[in-house]
Amino acid sequence: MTTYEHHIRKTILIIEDDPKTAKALAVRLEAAGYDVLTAADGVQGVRLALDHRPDLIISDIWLPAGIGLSVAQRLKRAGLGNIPVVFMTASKLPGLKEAAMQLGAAAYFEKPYDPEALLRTITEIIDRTANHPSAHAQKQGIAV
Amino acid sequence: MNYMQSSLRILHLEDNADDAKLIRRKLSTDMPGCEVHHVENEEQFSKALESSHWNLILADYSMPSSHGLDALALARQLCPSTPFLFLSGMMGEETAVESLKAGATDYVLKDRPARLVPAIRRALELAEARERREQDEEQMVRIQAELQKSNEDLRRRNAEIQNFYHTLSHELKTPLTSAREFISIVMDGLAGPLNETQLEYLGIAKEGCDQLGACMNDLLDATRLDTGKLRLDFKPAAVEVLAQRVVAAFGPAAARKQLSVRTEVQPGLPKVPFDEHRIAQVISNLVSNALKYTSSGGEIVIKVGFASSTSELLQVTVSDTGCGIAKEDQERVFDRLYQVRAGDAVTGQGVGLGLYLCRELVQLHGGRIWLESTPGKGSAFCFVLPVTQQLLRSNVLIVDDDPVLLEMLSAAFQTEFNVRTARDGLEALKEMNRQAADVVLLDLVMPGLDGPTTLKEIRKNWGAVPVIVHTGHVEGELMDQVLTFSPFTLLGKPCSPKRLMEVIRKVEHGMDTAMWKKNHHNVPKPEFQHKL
Repeated sequence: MTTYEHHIRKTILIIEDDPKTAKALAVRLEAAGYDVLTAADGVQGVRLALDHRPDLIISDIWLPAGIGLSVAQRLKRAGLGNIPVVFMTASKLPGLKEAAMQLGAAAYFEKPYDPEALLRTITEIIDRTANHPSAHAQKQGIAV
Repeated sequence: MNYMQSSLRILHLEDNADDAKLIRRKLSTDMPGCEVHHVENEEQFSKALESSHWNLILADYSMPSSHGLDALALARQLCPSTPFLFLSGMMGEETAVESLKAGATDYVLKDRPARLVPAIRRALELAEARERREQDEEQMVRIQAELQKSNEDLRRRNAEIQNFYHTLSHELKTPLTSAREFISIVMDGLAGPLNETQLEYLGIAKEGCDQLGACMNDLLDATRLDTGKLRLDFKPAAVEVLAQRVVAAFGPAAARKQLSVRTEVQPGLPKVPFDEHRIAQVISNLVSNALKYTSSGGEIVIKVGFASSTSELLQVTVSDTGCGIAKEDQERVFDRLYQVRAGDAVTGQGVGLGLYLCRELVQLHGGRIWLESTPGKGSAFCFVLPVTQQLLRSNVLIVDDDPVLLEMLSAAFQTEFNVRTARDGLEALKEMNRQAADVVLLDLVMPGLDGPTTLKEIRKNWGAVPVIVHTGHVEGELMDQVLTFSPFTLLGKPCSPKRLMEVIRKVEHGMDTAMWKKNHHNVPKPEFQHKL
């Protein structure tokens, strides 16, 4: 089972309303060996998360149809609270990072982001979650 | 206004024709130019009151057809502020008191005509004084309302500016992010192999993106400083560790330019309270400038140690072997939007906010930043940070309409505090809006907005900020007014800068023992206060 899981490509969902940034992230993540899904707003993001159960979500904070922070809350209510969410924003509003971290964000990046640091952080988070017993249970439960 | 000369209109109610003539003659001799209009009964009296304006009313107290008190009641109703004098053949003390209670200004006995003119003059003066007071009060209310409005406007404008810059920066950074990232993607070979030249050119493009990003952050910070919204997060940490980390990030850039960059740290430095992100910004800015203005083969040294003068300050020095800065530019490099000229041309790098932000950030930490430079040999940018939080410099706002005193006090205070000055109340409130002071030194007598009104606004908007009232008028009306907005510390003028600074040190820590509170039973005697 474990060996099998190691061969599964991990999926990352990008929730980002700027198509250029979404594309740049997708190119970068696919090159690093991830499967990528993209959503242009919060509602679509939650729907894709429910349908595909990604291993990690990268979400912008200012989004049409519900800000990124509320996406995290909705995921939690839908029982997907254990999918790590990495927030990313071009805003420098004081207190935004604190609010995101309080909501249980796995990481927080300001735009423009450093791609190396982003990839490193994502790998760390996915490895950590994959070794977590509850994540195994979650994965098995949804394996169709 | 002099009632004696200009046309003074007196309405005279008298049913006795002889008495009326007598009064008219008396007034025309003693008060030339005054116009006396005589009425005989209450009906005429009431018509006269309704149809014209009078400066003064004279009325007989007892008449067969009517009673003087009825006339008084009517006058009080129709023209409450016009002085009203009773004339009476005989008036007992009781009736006199009764008439005054009913609103008469004064009364004169007919058998003492010599009192008439002085009584009229006094009544007119009283009326004039009252009118002036009422006008003053009205004006005060109006000024206060205007002030409140302008305060609200300022606050709203500040918020709008903040909002605008936040939105602008967000909107500009979004395309910048994808541009920079696609450049990185191509540089990392994710879109196929590149040759050296392509890599070099893309590197330049990416650097441009980074400059743009840094520039936007600087703009946002400058706006926050201007609107007093920049808050520091103080935590004790090691400056030298931070400096080494910041310097390490410049390694590749230094290597590209063939510059040697090294750090020298004095051993045994204590942890000091500072905002790590902001001090990193300062050091990074200084090192980045040094890299920019030093030619290949040069050397940049970052020293961290105690200040030479005192172990209560830590000093960071960033020195380079660059082109140096001309004497006339040295004072101005920290100014907002100032750009150093290299030869004939502006170097074109940055909008001139970097060093301004450095200075403001260091000052917010209670420190100081300065420059030592020899043109052609190099520059050293130095800044100091207080080792303990107690040493953080407080912001003192001096409000006084005397420019000489302002200059003298701010020169003296600058050794210890961050000083700002205001020449009147309105300016003071503007300064407070820009950045609330830790201590306010307030004069009472000022043109425009005076001390009490200014203090009232300060209390309303900034609550219990420590205020020292510094005045030559420790008694009188303004003092009574200002007591409404107590507590404050009172110092009589003239007071030496040294003594003032002692008191500022005390009040900024809430330690003042001689605070004036309204209705406070233990208020120290003014003599003692005066000596303070």
